[in-house]
Amino acid sequence: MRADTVTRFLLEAVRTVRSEQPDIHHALCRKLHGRAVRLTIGVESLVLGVPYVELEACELAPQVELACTRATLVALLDARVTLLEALLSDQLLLKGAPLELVRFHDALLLFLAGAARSPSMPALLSCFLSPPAEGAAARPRVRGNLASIGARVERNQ
Amino acid sequence: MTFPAVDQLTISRSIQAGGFFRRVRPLGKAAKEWLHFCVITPEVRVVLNFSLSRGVDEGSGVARLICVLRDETGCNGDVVTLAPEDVSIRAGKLDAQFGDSNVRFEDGRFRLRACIPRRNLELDLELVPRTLPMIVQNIQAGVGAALHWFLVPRLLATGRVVSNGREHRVEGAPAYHDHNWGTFRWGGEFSWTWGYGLPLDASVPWSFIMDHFMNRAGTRTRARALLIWKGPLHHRMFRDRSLEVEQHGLLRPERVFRVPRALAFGCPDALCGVPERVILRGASGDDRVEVEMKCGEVSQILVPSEEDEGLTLINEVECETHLHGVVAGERVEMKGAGMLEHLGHWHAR
Repeated sequence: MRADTVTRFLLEAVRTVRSEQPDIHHALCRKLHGRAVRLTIGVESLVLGVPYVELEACELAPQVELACTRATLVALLDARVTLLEALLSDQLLLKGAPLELVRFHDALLLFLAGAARSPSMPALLSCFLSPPAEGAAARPRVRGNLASIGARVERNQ
Repeated sequence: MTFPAVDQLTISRSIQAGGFFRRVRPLGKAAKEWLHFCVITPEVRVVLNFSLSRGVDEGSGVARLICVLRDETGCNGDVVTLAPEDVSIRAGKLDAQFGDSNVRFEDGRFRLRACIPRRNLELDLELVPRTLPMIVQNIQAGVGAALHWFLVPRLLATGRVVSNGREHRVEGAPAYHDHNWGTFRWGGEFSWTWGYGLPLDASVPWSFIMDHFMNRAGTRTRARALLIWKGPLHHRMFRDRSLEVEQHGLLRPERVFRVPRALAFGCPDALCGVPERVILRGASGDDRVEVEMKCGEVSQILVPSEEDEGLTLINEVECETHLHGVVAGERVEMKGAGMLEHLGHWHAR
């Protein structure tokens, strides 16, 4: 798993929600169908949208634009600043028609609901927030599995 | 302190007999189990939880270490999700390894170690139980779901807590422990407010636990109880019709510390739904007691709901507590500290 750049992290997060929370992903796609958002994080830029049936990087013309630095994104994910505080202090720029912004906000909440329920997301997030040192062995994905913990238990009994 | 003759060995054996890991694996039901510890000192408050959760589907379980701490520099803590290969539990024992953190009960005391390097957080504590435990079975927690509660209301904690490079020595500080397991789902048709009060002066014999289990909306009471301990022994219980529970006001903290931090992203900061004060009045026969729990700082543990796309908000609230009254002709008086846990729900729409 690589999440060393913002783009890789976001695309991996989208893939994770799509595969691990398909129902929420479908709801998200219904909400954003035919629409897109341009995310500019530091020097990286990416358009995410639903051109067909999946949330993916695409070439649709974005209705909403979001821009911030990587440091602001990390501060948001680390709860050091709230979305509202980031907006009011100009750390984050959000641009679009009001109804599109509301739709985007609803979609963001759905995406977060999916991310919160995806077993692989904590490891992915951890990898993005504190990337492993160069050459360090990649840590296996955390897919919660008490069955394997159970196997340990049997041996210990 | 001089308390009735219950020796440490009896307390220790009672905890070994009832406080072990269950690791319930019912077919077709989500199962949860956790060990919860709280430590109160004038400088630092700690909530530490070793949690196991298993979904309906095979292989959908996860182990988490949850730590929330507050000292004079502010709050610290996190929820750490463990890889299965990093977790080892001895079923039938009180012995678990969660990565670099562990909990075990040996030599008549809980030994806790928690380490979250990313948050510069480390603690090593020994908790000596000072009361006999109690077990409450089959608390209704949604349709066809039950919660079981093994609790040790009063312990004495010794050790050290390090947060952001600042070390706090803990010497004989009041502490609380419980162990829950059950088959409920977060976001189900239930909510709770429970709490405890402990004296800061070790010579005071009184301590208490209160619980108030309700439906999800908090509009209908399912069970309520006030349990009073004198020294190591459970001394008196008021429940249901012999107990009134009142919640006054609404706490409006400017900011609430939340873990896991990434989940706070989409949830408005002002929400907590915690009362300013909780008053309990117990009356039965000639016995009369009143408890006031005055709420202070709030931390939240955010848990994705298993019933909808919202969040369950577990509010951990620091309290000043005052227990007073008369039980069996004896005057009861205890001013101290405690915590209140108040369950709330949040949904985007």
